[in-house]
Amino acid sequence: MAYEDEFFRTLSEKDIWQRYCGFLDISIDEFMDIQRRLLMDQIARVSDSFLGKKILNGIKPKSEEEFRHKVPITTYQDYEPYLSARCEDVLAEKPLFWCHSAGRRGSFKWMPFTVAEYEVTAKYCVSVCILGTANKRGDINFHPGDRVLMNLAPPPYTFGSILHHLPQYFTFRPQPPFDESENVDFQTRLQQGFTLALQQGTDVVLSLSSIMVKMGQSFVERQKTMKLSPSILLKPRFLKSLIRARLVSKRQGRAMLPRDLCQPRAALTGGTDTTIYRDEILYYWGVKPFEFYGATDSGFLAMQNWNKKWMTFLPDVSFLEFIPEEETIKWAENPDYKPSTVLFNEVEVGKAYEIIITRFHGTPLFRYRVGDVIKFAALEDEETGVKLPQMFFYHRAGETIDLASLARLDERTIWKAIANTGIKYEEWSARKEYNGSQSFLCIYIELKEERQAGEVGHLIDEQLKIIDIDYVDVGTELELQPVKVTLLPPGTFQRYLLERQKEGADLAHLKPAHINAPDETIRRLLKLSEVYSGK
Amino acid sequence: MINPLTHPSYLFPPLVAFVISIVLLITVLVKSRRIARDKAFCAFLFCLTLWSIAIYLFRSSPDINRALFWDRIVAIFVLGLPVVFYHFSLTYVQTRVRAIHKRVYLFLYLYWLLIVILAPSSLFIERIELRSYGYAPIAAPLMYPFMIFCVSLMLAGLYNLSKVYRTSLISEERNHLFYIIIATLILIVGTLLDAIPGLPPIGIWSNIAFSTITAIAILRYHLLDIRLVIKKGLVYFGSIGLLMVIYGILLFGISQYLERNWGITFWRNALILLVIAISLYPIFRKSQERVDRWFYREKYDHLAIIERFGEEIKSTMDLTLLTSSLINIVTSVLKCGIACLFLPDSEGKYFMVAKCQGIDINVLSGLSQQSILVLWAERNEGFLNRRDIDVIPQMRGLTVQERSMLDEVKASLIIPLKNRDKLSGILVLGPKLSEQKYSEDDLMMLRVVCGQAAVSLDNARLFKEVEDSLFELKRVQEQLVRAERTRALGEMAGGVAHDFNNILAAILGRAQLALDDVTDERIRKGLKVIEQAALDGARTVRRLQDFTRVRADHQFEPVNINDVVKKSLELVEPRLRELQEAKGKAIDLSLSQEQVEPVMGDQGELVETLVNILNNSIDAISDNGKLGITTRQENNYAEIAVSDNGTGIPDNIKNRIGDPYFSTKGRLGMGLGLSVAYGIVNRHGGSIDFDSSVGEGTTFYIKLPIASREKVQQSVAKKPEGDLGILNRVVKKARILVVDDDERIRDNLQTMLIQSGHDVTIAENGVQGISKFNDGDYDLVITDLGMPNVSGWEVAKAVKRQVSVVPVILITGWGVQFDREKARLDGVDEILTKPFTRERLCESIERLLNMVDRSLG
Repeated sequence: MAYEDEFFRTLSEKDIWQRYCGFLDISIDEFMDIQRRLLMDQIARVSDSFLGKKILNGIKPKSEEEFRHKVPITTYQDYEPYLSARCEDVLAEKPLFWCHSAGRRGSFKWMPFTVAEYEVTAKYCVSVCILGTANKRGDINFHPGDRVLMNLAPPPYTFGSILHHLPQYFTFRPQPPFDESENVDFQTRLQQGFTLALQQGTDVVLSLSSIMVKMGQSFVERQKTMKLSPSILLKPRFLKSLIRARLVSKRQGRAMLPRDLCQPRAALTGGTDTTIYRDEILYYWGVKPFEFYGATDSGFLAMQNWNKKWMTFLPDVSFLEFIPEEETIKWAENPDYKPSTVLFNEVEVGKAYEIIITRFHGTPLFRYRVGDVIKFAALEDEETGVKLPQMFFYHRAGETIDLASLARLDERTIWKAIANTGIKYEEWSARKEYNGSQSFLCIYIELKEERQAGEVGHLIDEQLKIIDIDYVDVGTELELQPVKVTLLPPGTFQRYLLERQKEGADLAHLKPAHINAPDETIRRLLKLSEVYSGK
Repeated sequence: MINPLTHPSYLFPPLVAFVISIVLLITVLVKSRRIARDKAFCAFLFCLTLWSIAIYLFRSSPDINRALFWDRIVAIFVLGLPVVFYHFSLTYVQTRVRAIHKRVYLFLYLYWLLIVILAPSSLFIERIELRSYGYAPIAAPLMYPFMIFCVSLMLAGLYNLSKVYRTSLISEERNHLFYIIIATLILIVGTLLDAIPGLPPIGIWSNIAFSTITAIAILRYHLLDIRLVIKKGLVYFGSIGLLMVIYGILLFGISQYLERNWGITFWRNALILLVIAISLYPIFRKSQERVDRWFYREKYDHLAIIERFGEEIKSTMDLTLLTSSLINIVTSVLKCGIACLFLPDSEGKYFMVAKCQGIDINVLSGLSQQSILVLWAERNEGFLNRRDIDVIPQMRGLTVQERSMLDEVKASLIIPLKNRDKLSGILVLGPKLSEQKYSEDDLMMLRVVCGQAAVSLDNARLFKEVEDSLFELKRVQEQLVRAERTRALGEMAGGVAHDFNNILAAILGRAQLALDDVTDERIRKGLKVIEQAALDGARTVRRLQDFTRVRADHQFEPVNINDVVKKSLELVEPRLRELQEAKGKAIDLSLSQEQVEPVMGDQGELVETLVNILNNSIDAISDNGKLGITTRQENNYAEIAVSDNGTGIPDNIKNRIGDPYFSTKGRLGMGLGLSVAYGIVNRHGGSIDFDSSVGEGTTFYIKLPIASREKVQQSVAKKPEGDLGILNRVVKKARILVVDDDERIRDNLQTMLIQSGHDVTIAENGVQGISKFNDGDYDLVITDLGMPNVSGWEVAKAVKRQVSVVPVILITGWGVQFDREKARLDGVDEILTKPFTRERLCESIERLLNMVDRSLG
C-alpha cells in the first residue's frame, strides 16, 4: 500500500485534515520556527558539497541573520554549469530525479529533486487535492483511488515528473494512464484524457487554466458533429451521464458542457492566468478553480485555502525572503546595490515583493531569485481563520511595461483588461513601442469577431483605467490614448504556432510571449498577417 | 418436567446478546459514525442485534408455526451477516480501485435481497421440531450451498483483515484487528456448529462471545479508536449490574424456598433475607473489587509505582541515580523496550541523552534548543505519540536527522518533563513489548511520575551546579594562591637575576679579555675557572627564572605534541631499562595517540616538561606498575595525559604540588621538576592539572592551546629567512656606538669590540647615546636596557627614528623576560642576556650587519 494511502486508511478525517492541511492552522511564529530550523538543517546538509561551498563561499552561517548578511542573492546562472549538465557530484545528495522547466525564457532550467524533498512535495500534492475539493474546514472529499484528469507535459517537465513519481506515495487513477500517455504528443494526450473523463467521470481536473477553458470550448464547438461509437453508448454509466447531461442542458437552454458529463469535484490549476479564466472554468467545469503556486526552481511554494480566494505559503519547502519593490528598483538601477530582504513575518499588506528562496531538504539552492513578484492581500484570512499572510501572484520580475514612468502594467492587468472588454479574441501580445519620444502600449491581437482597431484600443483603454489606478494618469499626462492596437487576421497565431512547430521548437516556445515579445516575433507575426490578409 | 421453552438458559442468551450488541452499536454510532469503516461495522452490529432479537422471538414463540416464521427471519440475518462483514473488511482494507468495490457490493447486496425473498419460503428452513432443548430448525437442501457461500464470504473477509494485520506497521491497529479476527472466528465456528443436525443451538453463544470480545476490546484497547468518556460508568454499570442480578436471584431463590418449604411468613422471611444479605455483603464487595482490579489492574500497579518512585527520588540528589531510577521505573512498569531521557547541557544549547535503555547511546544525537520537538515541548503540556509526529503541522519542521533518530528509538511516546513551565527534559519511550497502545492509565501514571521527576531533576541539577561552583571556586582560590606565591617569587628572582647577571657579565667579560692577554698557563687555568664559574652562575640564574615562570625569550614554533611524547619517551626509556635491569622494577608502558593539530611552543621545553612528569610518575611506582600516555584533542586544546598506578598524592599536599623546592622524594628530589613544568606550560598558555588517589595512582593532564592556522602559516613563512641569515654570515668591520651606564660593562664591551676589529664610541647614558648617534655615523648601536632617565627602549626608538636601518642590540640582565617579537616592534633587533660571551656578541653583530647589507641590496 502506498505510503500516504496508509494514512487515509488509519487516520480519522480530522487527523487526515491535520496532516495535509494543518499548515493552514499554524501561527506566524510557528511558521518562522519551522523556517529557521529547516534553514539551519539545510546549511548543515549542503554546505560541505561542492555547490554548497561555492555558493556559500565556504562559510557555514550559524544563524539566519548571518546567512542573510553573508550569502549573496543568486540566480540560475550561478548554478547553470552544474545543473544543466545534471552533474550529481556537486550535490550534497543523489537526487531521486532531474526535471526541467517549461523553458519560457528560452532555455530549460534543470533541477534535481531529492528524496526528502519529493516526500514533502508528494504530501503537498495530496494537500492540493484535498483543499481543492473541500468546501469547508475538515472536509475530506478526496481519497486514494480517485480519478485525476491531467493535462500536463510529461517527464522530464517538472510537474510531469512529480506526477510520474506520485503513485509510489499515493494511489490515484490518472486520466489518461501514464503508460498510455507519456509517449504520445500533447494533443493526443489531451484527447485521451478528456475522452476517458467523459466516459468514466472524473474526480479532479489538473491542468493549466487556459487548456481547461480550451477543452470546454472545443467540447461545445464539436458536440454537434461528435459521433459516439456504439461501444461507448453501451456503457450504462456513460449512457446515464449522457442522458442526464442532455436533460440538464436542455432545461437550462444551453449547449452541453463538460461539467454535465464529468462533474469533477475540483479544478486544480497552476500558472499566472487563473484569475483571467476563473469564470470560464466555473462555467465549463462547474467548479471554481483552485490555484497553487510553484515552479521548477522553487517546487510548491503556496496554495489557496479551501475558499479559493488567496494563497498561503508553505512553511517547509523553502526559506522565504522577500525583496520589497523599492529595493528591486534600486537594485535594477545599480547592480552593485545589495537589496535588503524581509521575512514572512515582516511583510506588509498591499506591498509587492520579489520572492527569494532557499530550498530545504538537500538541494543546494541558496537565496535564489525565482523571478516572481507577489503581493500580500491580507495578513490573515478572516473567512477561513488562517492566521498567515495571504498572497497572490502579481507578475514576473521584469515582465512589466512601464508607461512614461507613471504606470507599470503587467501581463495579468493587460489580459484582464482585454477579457473585460467582452471582445472574443484568439491570442494577443503586448509591448512598449515609441513614436519619437512618445511611448505607447502596443497590443497585437487576433480577434474572433469583426471590430475596428480604434474601437478595440478604446475599449481596452477604458478597462485599463478601471483596473489600474495609475494608468489613469498616463492618459491625463500625455493627453492622448496610450493604447495602440494592431489587429491580426484570423489564423495568424495558429500559423505562427505551426511554423514554430515545424522548426522543432519546444512546446513551451510555440506561442509568442504575452509581454515584451522580441522584435523578431512581432516581425514574424506581422509578416504572417500580411500573407493572410493578402497584402 | 421443566418446559425447555420457558427455561431461562434457553431464553436468556439471545437477550444478553441483544443487549450487548445494541450497546456496542450505540457506542460505535455515537463515537465514530463519520468514518466509512466504522459505518460498515455499525451495519454489521445492527445485523447482529436483529439476529439476536429474532432468535429471542423464535425461542419464545408459543407454537411451532410462529417459531418457523421467526426462524426464517433468523435465516435472513444469518445468511446476510457475512455480506455486511465482507463489506466491512473491504472498507478496512480500502483497496485501490473503489469502482470494483461498487460492483462487488452490488452483487453481494443483490444476493442478500435474493435471500430475503427466498427466506419466507421453505427453501432454507423446511420445518421446526420440538426437541429436549427447545425448537430445532430442520434445514432444507438449499440452505447448505448458501451456508457454504456465506462461510466463504466470512473467510474472505477474514483474509482481507489478516492481510492488513500482516502488513500494518501500526501495532495498535494490529491489536485491534487481532480482536476482531478472533471474535469473527468464534462467530463462524458457532454458526457452523448450528448448522450440524442434532446438535443443540450454540450459535447464539458465539454471537455473545463476538459482542463481548469486541466490547472488551473497545473498553480496554480503544478498538476502532473509540475512547469512552463514560467507560468507567459503563464498566461499573455492567459488572455491578451483573453482580446485582446474581445477588438478587440468589436472594429471591432463597426467599421462595423458605416460603414454599418452610412456610416462613413475609416479615420473618424479610429478616432472614436481611441477615443473609449482610453476611453476603463482603463477598459482594470482594467480587466488585475483583471487577475493579480486572478492568483497572494497571491503575493499581501504577499507584504502587508512583509511591515507589516518590520514595526513591526523596532519598537522592544525584542526577545519575535519578535518571537511572526514572528510566528503570518507566520501562519496567510500562514494559517498553526502549526509553531515552534527554536533559539540557550546561550551556543550554542542546538536550543531550542523559540515560537510555534498549538502545546504544552512541547512535543517538542530541536535540538542538531550536529543534521543533524541543520548542513544542516547551510550549505544550501534553504528550506526543508517533502518530502526532505525522499529523501535527508544527512537526513539519523536524529535520531528517531528528526524524531518523525518532525512528531509531521507535518513538511511540514523547513526554516533556516540565517544572513550573520550564522544560527540564524530554522522555522518549519506544513501543510496549506487547505492542499495545499506551493506555489512558499509562499516560496518567507517566504524567505524575514525570511531573515528580522534573522537579527532582531540576533540584538535582541545581545541587550539582552549586557543587560544581564550589569546586570551581576552591580550584580558582588555590590557583590564585599559587599564582600569587609564584609572582612574589618571580619578582624576587627577577631582581636577583638582573643584578647577578650584571655582575656575572663583568666577571665573564673581564675573564675572557684577560684570557686573550695572558699567556701564562697557570694564570690562564685560573681565568678559565673564573669564566666557567661565571657561565655556571648564568645557568643557575636561568633556572631560577625558569621555575618562577618569568622567561619570555623563546620563539614559539608549531609543535606536534605526539612528537613531544615520542622524544620524551626516547629520553625516559633508558631509565626504564636501567630500573628493570638493576632493580627488577618492570613498568608496563602503554601509549595511545590520536591525531592532534599542532600547538605553538618550544619543543625542547615541552619535552623537558613531559620528562619531568614522566620521571615523577616512574618514581611514584614503587615496584612493578603501569604507566600510560595518551594524547587527544578536545575543542581547541591538545591534551597529554600521563597516568600511573603509583602511590598517589595525599590530599594534604595536593595544593603544594608545583611549589619550588617542594618534593615528596626526600633527599632524592630537588623539588624543581614540576615547578619548572608548571612554568613552561603556563608560558605556553596551557595548564597542568592532576587527579590523584592515594594507593590508586595519579594522572597528570597537560593542556595546550591549538595553534591558530594563521600562526602556523606565519611561522612556516618566517623559517627560511632565519636559516638563510645564519647561512650567509659575512665578517665585516663596523662603527659601533656602545651605550651603558655601568662602567665595567662599558669597558668590557669596548675592549671586546676593538679586539674584534670594530670602531667603538662610548656613551655613559641614554641622553648622551642619542646625542652621539645624532652627531655621528654608526653601523650598529649596543645599548643597556636599565639606565637612569632614558632607557634602552628609548635609545632604540630614537635610533630607528633617525636611521631605521641601523641595527640595535639591547643588553640586559632581564633578558629572558622579554618577548622578542614585541622588542622588534620597539626598534630592538636583538636582545643579549647578560652575561654573554664574546663569541655570542660577535655572532650577533655579524648577523645583523649582514642582514642590513642584504636589505640595502
